[in-house]
Amino acid sequence: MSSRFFLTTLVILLFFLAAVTPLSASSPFSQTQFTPDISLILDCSFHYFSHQERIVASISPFQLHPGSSPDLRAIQWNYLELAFSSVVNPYIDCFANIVLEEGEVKVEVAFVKTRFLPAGFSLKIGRFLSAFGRLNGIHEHQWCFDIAPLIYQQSFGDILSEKGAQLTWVLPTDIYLMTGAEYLLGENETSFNRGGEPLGTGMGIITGFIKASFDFGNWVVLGGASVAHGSHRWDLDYPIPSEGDSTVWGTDLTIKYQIDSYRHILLQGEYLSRRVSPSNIYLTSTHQHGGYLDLVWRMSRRWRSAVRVDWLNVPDGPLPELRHPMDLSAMVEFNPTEFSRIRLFYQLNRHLAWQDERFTAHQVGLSLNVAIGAHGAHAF
Amino acid sequence: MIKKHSRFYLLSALLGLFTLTLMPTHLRVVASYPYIREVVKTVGGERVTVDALSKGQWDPHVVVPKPSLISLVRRADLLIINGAQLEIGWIPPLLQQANNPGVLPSKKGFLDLSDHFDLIQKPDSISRAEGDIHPAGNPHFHLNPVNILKMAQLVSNKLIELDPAGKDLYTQNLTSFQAEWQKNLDRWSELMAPLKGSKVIEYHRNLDYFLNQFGITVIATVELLPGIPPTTRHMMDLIDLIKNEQISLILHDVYHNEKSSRYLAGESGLPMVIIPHDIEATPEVVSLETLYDTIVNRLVQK
Repeated sequence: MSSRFFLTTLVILLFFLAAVTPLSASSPFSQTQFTPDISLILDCSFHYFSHQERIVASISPFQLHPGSSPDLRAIQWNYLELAFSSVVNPYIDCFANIVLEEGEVKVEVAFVKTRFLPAGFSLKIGRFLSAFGRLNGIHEHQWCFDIAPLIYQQSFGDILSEKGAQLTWVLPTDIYLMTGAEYLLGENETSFNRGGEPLGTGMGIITGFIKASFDFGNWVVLGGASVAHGSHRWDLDYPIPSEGDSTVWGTDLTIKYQIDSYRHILLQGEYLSRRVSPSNIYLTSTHQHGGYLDLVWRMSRRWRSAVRVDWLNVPDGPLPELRHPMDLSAMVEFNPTEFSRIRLFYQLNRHLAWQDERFTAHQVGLSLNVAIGAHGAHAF
Repeated sequence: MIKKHSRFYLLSALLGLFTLTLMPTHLRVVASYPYIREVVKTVGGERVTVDALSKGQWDPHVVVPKPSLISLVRRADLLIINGAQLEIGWIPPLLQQANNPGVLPSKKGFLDLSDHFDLIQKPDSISRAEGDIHPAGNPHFHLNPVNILKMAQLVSNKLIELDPAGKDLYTQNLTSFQAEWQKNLDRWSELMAPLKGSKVIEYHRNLDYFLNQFGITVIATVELLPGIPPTTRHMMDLIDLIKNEQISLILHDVYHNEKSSRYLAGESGLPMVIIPHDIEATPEVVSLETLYDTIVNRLVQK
């Protein structure tokens, strides 16, 4: 465990101690009542992966490194996350999520958001989840499946989360209409990768999005369209790096039928298309597209289940067998209260290759997620 | 250049149009629950438009913060909540996404009713081992019909603060409502008098303020802990309790699964009564008056 990790943990523990020290009359300058909302989220799981011994090739035509199947037959500590949120002053709020992984500390999000702009505008500055698409803006521990869909992995590695600025505008209309734009630094290695090398002089990423929603009785319909455009620079272990533009388009649709207070049926789908204009002839695939469709059934206050179809098209991919992979996933979860969750999931994995041949793998997992402290409510 | 200019004009025109739509003709009020909407309608009359963010037949603790609610909060001049953390699971994300600084807590356009009432059943220890507890106390204070008088006063004060020109109307509406409500209170007190001193079991501690008002004691809850369904052991304990105590009713709300309460009623021979907690919770509840009429009728008739 690195000393940095240890140090950070210590600092955070001290912060907690300060937070629980009671307000005392003998400390007239005590500020403990200004303690932000703090919560800790722990996620651990047990996985079984059917082809543990195989060193598998990744699907990405850009990241042709051989990839490796992680040690999946063990209890995994997936993440331990500290979330902070508070009003800063009459003008801004501040949010931060610090992820502690073994030997590593990551700032997942840390941003300020205005609370004074008029006319439905709001500005966010810092590191945040991009409002691109539907799944991207939803915090990972709210997802039905722990793994990002193939097209998300293909386009953003995992999701698009960067440092930058975001302006949103909620229109003063009867139906929900929200639009906005972001400028992001472009550190995302999968589609952009501006940082690191001296050659990285790209313009960063510009995103734009619009979301609309209306109700029809107990039905909720939410749709959106998004685009992320920026320059890329990849070294790819070839003599000449590739420099060019990357654009990802996305559309999403969510339909939810609320049966009663606790039960609902939800259909959520997204379709993404990614195009790159590389300067490097070694890049074989310049266009990939795909999507996913989730069907979620909340059967009761405590039980929820979901299935996912997840597909990807890489028409000019280097490995013919992996040009149209499709995965299937299913899960069922038990939520004793809203602060804990036990989930059993299964994935029929069809996007991996071994010795240039596609094979079908099975993954089964049992995960536990708990949240303690002042944990903020989740958005739609 | 010309093209650039015409774009600029188009943009200005659009912005102007939206500024126009922002100009309120009425005071726009958004209430977390239907009962608050009815209080606002009564006091505000034609000078206000008011919408409720949730439905009366559903669990007030669990409301889906769907996007259409964001647009209601976005355009509101005033947001009135029940408070006491009843909305903690769904109003914060709406406020975060609505980009409306005028209705944030501590602003003029925000009213938390619970700030003005003495809450009962404040937990001794604040721990989630006790289930989904409300640290500030039981938040269902609106079910005591006496509290509606004060709520109408609070709403009237707030409306006058935001719209001083409507003062006469609001005051007039308030006065006539209070007179009429006092008659209702007298009527309900008379009807409830025979039940004074009786004991009941409740599924969830919804009706305690009402029952306290009319001298009825809650002996136990069917749910094990707030938000935690009963275990077999707990059900056995309740059956024993019913044998030893003179309990007259099992009260159940409209949103929790009736299975446990129904089983208990079957085992003990006690009547189970479904009690509405808000407007539209049951078909006959269409107003504040019919809410308490229904509660009183259902209790008295059993």
